Amino acid sequence: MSPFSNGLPGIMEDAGLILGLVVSLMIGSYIVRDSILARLGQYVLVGAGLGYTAVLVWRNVLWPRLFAPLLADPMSWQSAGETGFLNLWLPFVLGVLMWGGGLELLRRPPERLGGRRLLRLLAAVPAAILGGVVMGVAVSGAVQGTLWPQLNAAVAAADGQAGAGQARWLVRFLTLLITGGVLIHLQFGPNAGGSENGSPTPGSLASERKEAADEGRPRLYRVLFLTLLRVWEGIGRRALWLAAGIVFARLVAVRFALVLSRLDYFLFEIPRSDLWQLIWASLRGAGS
Amino acid sequence: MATSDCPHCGYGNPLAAQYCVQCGTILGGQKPPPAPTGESADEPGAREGEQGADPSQPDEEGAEQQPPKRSSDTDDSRDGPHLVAEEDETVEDAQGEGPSQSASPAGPLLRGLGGLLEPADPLSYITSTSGADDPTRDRPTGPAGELSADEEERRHLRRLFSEDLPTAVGASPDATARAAERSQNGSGLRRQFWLELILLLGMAGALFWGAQTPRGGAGPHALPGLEQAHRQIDSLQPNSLVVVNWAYDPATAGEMDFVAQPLIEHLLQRQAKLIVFSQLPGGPATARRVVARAEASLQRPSRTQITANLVIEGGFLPGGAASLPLLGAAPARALPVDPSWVDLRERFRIAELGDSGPALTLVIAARAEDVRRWMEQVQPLNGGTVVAATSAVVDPSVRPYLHSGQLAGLVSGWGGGSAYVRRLERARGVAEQARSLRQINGLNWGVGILIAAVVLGNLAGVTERRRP
Amino acid sequence: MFSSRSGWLNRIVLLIVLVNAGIVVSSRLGLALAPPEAATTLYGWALLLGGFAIILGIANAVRFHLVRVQRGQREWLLSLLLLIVFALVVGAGISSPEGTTGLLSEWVFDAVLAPGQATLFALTGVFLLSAAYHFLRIGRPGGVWITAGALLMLLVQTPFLYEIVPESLVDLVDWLLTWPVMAAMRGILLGGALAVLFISLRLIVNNAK
Repeated sequence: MSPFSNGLPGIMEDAGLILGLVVSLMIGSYIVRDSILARLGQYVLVGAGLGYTAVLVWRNVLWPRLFAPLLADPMSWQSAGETGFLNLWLPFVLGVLMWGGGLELLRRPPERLGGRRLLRLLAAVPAAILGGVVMGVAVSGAVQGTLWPQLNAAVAAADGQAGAGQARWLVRFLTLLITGGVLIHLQFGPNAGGSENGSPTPGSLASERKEAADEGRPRLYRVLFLTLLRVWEGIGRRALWLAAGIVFARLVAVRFALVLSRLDYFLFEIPRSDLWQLIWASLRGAGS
Repeated sequence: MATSDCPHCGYGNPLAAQYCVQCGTILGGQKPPPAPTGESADEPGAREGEQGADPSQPDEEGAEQQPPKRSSDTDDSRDGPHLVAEEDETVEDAQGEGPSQSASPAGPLLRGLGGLLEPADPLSYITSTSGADDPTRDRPTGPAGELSADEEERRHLRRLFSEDLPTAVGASPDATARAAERSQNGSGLRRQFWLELILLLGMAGALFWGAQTPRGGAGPHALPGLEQAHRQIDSLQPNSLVVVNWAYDPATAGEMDFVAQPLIEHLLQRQAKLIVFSQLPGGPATARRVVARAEASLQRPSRTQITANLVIEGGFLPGGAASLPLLGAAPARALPVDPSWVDLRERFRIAELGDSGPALTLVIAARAEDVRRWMEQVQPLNGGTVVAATSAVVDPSVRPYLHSGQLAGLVSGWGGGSAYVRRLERARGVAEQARSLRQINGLNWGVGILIAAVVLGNLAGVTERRRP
Repeated sequence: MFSSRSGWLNRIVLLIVLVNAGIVVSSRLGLALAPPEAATTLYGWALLLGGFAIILGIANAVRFHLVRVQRGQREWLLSLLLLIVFALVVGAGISSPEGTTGLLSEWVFDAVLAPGQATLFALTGVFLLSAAYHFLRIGRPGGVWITAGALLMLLVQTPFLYEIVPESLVDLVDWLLTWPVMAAMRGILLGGALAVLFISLRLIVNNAK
């Protein structure tokens, strides 16, 4: 238990310790098999998580940012000019539409025109606004934060991190080669040069090559170009595999750290607690 | 209920399912056979009207063309499976689709470069730390059963990075039981119980004896980027404003606490003014605990004093990527508004953010997605210096940002955190040292067992190939 | 995204999406098609609507389990337990003026959420071993590269191995991570960013059609 719940009576602390241990053991029992205990633990966890999130959103977001200012000054849309209207009333209306329409969408569709149908129609408005903002930030963010700076960095001269003994141009070339190869791999896939069953995927390099061959003209430059692309793709694919291996090793470090942390909890944190010491002492006393 | 078998894992899914319940392979929403002619003459029209009046209800065609929403984009992603309409109704609705809505596989809209759509989010394809079974990875390009080498490779990589996470409660009542049957029958991930038992026993033993083992050597290796991160924080002036994006919760705290705490300690040592916020529901509470531990390890007078003086709780910020730019464009609007948390002076400090921006931003993230979001949504707006403290697995994915200069420093994983602690000028407590030793010992044993398992797996593979 | 059968409604919705996306993009890229405050207002709306959406999602989940209990479907008792726990936690949070920073909510966090979530995710570490046993094999496509990358990284990041490997190997891994692997990851980042652009374009064009 953390110091943040220290103000509660001692029995609550003990109960919290036991509850945490029990929930952990129940969920952990999934290792053996998916039993009723494991599912019980999951349901308790999900129920608590949903409740906690609901309180958090209400107390931390909706109440202080929206409902409290609205209740404090319901006429803000008049008195504060556009600010109150744009920042409080409009999002309030949109949110209510989202709630109303969303709850309505969970029910069976209505058979006749009416209020329910209208609610369903209006629910599209906040969804569309949210969708538009998400699309806008995704596109502009991808361009400003990733596409442009990373393209710049890929093309720009390598800095001094390569090490004194290495030829800088070679490293720069390698970096560019691999980045380009990965992009070609993502575009054409590993069957760029030809597929196993002999039928190239439409749009792949293999199909391009087949088309060139079907035309019956010796298009050497085209075949050379496609071969070059195939080799380039192969380099990118191998770099991806190597990266995948390294990522896997890093994943091992993460997951093992999580397992160790839980084992540490069971083997060291719980036995060090006052409650456990008390139980242990009483057991030893009864035994002797 | 009629089912169709998944071409990937063989699991029996409802006919209308877009994705396999067990492995996430895209099924393309196979429709039941068309209703006999004349069964209901006015049915298509009636349904058309319903659909038309229901714009936000995704229709089958739209659902196929639209990439599935990634779990990382939802604020309460772990509860995702619960946020579905009632199962019976969904199936009924889907089965009620008329013949006019026959499934048409969504072809690529754009030729050429449009092929890049195929790996819609390759980042999570490689590095997903939760929910690694992202269905976007397995977009079938041919008929079921005719899996290309591409599919094979993708499946292989995906399996490598995915584990059989427990099926979330309520997602599918009988999915777990079926999955267990499949596992026993050899489909899906065949668990090696004996290996897992050895791992657990080995790690437990290592923890028990780890504290007594004398530690030698120089400690864990720090990957490039740590030095720069330390330099950035060390150069902060007292009372500098530092925004901390706390992007992890208790699920990954077992690793992330080791990374986050040393950096928070360093910031407190430099008397920086921290404004901590999170986009995860469990983030603010986790942050409070780590800050309290950091304060305790620095032996400051009391938690309340440090919270009042050096740490401002920015709380929870929902909205995902859509609301994040607010921190760059108008931080005073994004950060706390509850007067009970923040006194007037602090409000002025937050308002300063809008004029001058933070002296430093620290992104503490368990997923690459959170670092990428910050680099895309906030950093271009305020141009601030950003240091990332991440989970070990995130490191390779965000390294390009370090190389391009967008990130000013990078500390990752337990190893990075341990290396950072050694740079802090403070004595380590007995309990802290003991825990560190246990961690080292446990990791050593765990990796040893893993390497043995890989060797055994390869030997088993050779044996299987030789068998007729 | 939206029904393709009602043209006018689809167009209105698409128009709303495009206008909002356009305001954000023009503000971010400095195109001056809309006042910068407009984008800031939209971000603020997204923040609040995100809160509304979470509450809606929670309501959906609660309804899902309520129906299950009402109909006595499979595991209805567990659903009932979930609802009871949900109600207790909400009650504890609402009853305290501090909300989730109140004593009871902090207690719930320490007693249930933190240990439960940590244990759930720790399970994946155990299953990883079985995955490595089956799939980290040299005979598989790319197996040599993947296994080599994994073993090299393990050599450097595992304390007892790091102490015995030569310094040159450590330098090699650092170099791999700084250059070839970084370049591959950059390719993935660029591919992902391009994909975002094309997906957006595809959604717009599909809906416009």
